[in-house]
Amino acid sequence: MRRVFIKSAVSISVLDSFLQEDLSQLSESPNGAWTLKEPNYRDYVAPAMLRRASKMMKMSLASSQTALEQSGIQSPDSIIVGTGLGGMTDTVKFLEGSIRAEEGSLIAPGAFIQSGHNSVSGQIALLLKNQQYNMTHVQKGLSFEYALLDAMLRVKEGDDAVLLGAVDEKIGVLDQLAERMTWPEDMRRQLSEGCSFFVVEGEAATGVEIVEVKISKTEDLLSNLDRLLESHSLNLTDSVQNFVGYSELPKADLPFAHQVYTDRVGRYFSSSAFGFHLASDTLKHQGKPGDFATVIHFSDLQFSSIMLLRRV
Amino acid sequence: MNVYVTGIGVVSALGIGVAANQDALASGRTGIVSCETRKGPKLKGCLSLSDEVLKSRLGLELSAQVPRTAMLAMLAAEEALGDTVMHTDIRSGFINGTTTGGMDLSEAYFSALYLEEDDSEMVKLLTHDLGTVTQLVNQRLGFTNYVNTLSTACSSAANAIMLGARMIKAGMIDRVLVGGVDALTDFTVDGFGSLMIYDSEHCRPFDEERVGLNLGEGAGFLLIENDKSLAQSQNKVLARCAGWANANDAYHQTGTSPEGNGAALAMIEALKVAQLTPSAIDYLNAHGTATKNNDNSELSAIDRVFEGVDVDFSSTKANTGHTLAAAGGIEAVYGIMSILTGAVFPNLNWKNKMLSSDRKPVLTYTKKEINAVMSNSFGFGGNSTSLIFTKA
Amino acid sequence: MDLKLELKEKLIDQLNLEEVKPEDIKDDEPLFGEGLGLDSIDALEIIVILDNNYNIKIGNPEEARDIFHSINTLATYIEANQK
Repeated sequence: MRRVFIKSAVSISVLDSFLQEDLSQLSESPNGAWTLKEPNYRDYVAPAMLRRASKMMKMSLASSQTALEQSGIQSPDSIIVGTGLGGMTDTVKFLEGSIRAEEGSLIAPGAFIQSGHNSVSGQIALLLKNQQYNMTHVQKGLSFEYALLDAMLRVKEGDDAVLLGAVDEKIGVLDQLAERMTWPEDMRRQLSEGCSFFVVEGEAATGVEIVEVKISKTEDLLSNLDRLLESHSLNLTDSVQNFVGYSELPKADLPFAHQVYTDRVGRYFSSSAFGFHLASDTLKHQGKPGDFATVIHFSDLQFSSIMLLRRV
Repeated sequence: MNVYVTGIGVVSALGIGVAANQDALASGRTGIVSCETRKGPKLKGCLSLSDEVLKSRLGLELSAQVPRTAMLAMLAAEEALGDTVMHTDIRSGFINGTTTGGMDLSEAYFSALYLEEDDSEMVKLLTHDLGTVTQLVNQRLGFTNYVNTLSTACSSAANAIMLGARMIKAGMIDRVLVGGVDALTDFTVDGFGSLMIYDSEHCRPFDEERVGLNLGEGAGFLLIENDKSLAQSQNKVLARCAGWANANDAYHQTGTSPEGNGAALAMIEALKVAQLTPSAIDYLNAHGTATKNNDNSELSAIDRVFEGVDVDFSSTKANTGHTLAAAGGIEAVYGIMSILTGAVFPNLNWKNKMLSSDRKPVLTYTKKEINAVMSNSFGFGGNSTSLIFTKA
Repeated sequence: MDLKLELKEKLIDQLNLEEVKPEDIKDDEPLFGEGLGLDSIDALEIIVILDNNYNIKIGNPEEARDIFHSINTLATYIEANQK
């Protein structure tokens, strides 16, 4: 079986993460300000691409281009994206146009076209003129994990380099819905958005290896964590850091040292990609060969995940 | 590693279940009828059962918040699963392809909000996202190792089938329920209307005079297994999933290239995976949406891939309407029905040969030995997938 | 308001041409391909502009190719067909 490594990583978040060499060195936003720190998209995306692009599309185009540049890969063998909600801004925009339109009158199609969940992966392919495997995974909080599992499978099937991304955008309706559903205040104020893109590859002598990605029933998450580490002859206490995140669940009392990445970048369906990026940077800059880190994601009442990374 | 198809389930405008769909296809019946919408009548492939009737059929509480998409998926998924039971030694998964998710309920909320300034039904948005719909369906099925949703527009279900087959082949999983679902919504009907590719008459796939598609709804699922799973389930093998490929057209956000480059790449690669030559394909269930653009590109790609081979092909979209994400699942089931019954399904509403190609689709229900079928599904974002099934 | 200026403003607004000002669009320059660089999705959006603002219906985007050549051809068509 081919091993899978992280070649490059780029994230846009509420922290000043874009183009940061080492995310683990990022300082926190002052007073917990939860606004996205966006780059100047004009520096990364052609005006013709930008003019119809939603925030989600802009984040994705800038991050994916930068991740490719940093990896030195011009055209990847696969493009795989995870998104929990897809293009919500365009979906609601077209819905409003469609509902308000009278019988027989025409509706502008732009938002409908962009509302597709695979508009990001498709647009990147179009931009790169890339005719390879193109996939979009949409499974709530585990959208990134399923995209990552697909990317690892593609590498095992023979791909050299896969462009892998995760993105979700926040719209006002989500805040209203959380309030209506009486989400606790501390969860509600963490509703956020962000984007991460990676190039993962099959051949690397050194770097950070993606050892295993495990989907687990939430009730079995901690026992599966023990079992997974044991199968690799590892101990949780030896990990360089355990990065823990929450999607739809309240914070848990955990019996081991850890850092909560969703307290730093907020909660959005694909935020585990940020935790994954954080773990990768921590191992890359502070780890020595053999060191490992975990990303433990409490997603929803039914399913959660564990990602295990190792410095080689 | 062999990938066996051991269960099939389908719901479409032609009816619930494999038998109802087989009868309709064999007799050349269409399920596309004029349906009332808020903005007047439209030709659509609707399953003629209301949400209330579906709920009672499924034993769901009438008050339960279950999107229509989830109910269509439950019907087809349960038919495909049959009496197969979960087993702790068999790693099992569920992969659903969908684009509309809970949109039918979401648009009811937004209609009340925009037209009557009534926001009291906001909880309807809780089932909006696609992953939630998949989990709702899975609550009846009980998969625990892998429960995932793909959304790549009109190739979603085909990609779910491909991903399941790849996972079995790689030894990642033993048994997977794969396919897809979409329900009719005003959102998608208006969406394709806004692109000016919705035919106000019955759609005419591969006809020179075609002007566009009719939308439909439904679900199609396959149960696929490896040898280990088969030994446990004792299921009868219906067919093999032999070839698959996804490629991107990388030409336009919604349109396809005139040469059908993505389509051709997908068909060629799927043949390679199946280790078959084009002449081995006995029936090709084409994507054939009846838009000017799709049928032109697809036939151009077929001309190149099947050069010198007079392959039997048809589109069943004039029977079912274009069921979007579900199309690849429904048509995979039709492909396997073609193998099982030894028959090729006719392409309805065809009169005029396309100028760009010498090929014409199969026009009558034709019995013959079928050893291999190809099923094409192409979506927005250039997403192009081709699947091949072979006789067990 | 001058119809041509009005058209330019509507195009900039509806097609999100953020970087473009009305005076940047020459009356006779091609809107598609070279020139302003619009594409087939924009053509659909222009059909919506004509429907919603001038009550002009164009059923088939392919028929519109000549009408949509430039601001001049668009304005001429609107003046001839506006109800």
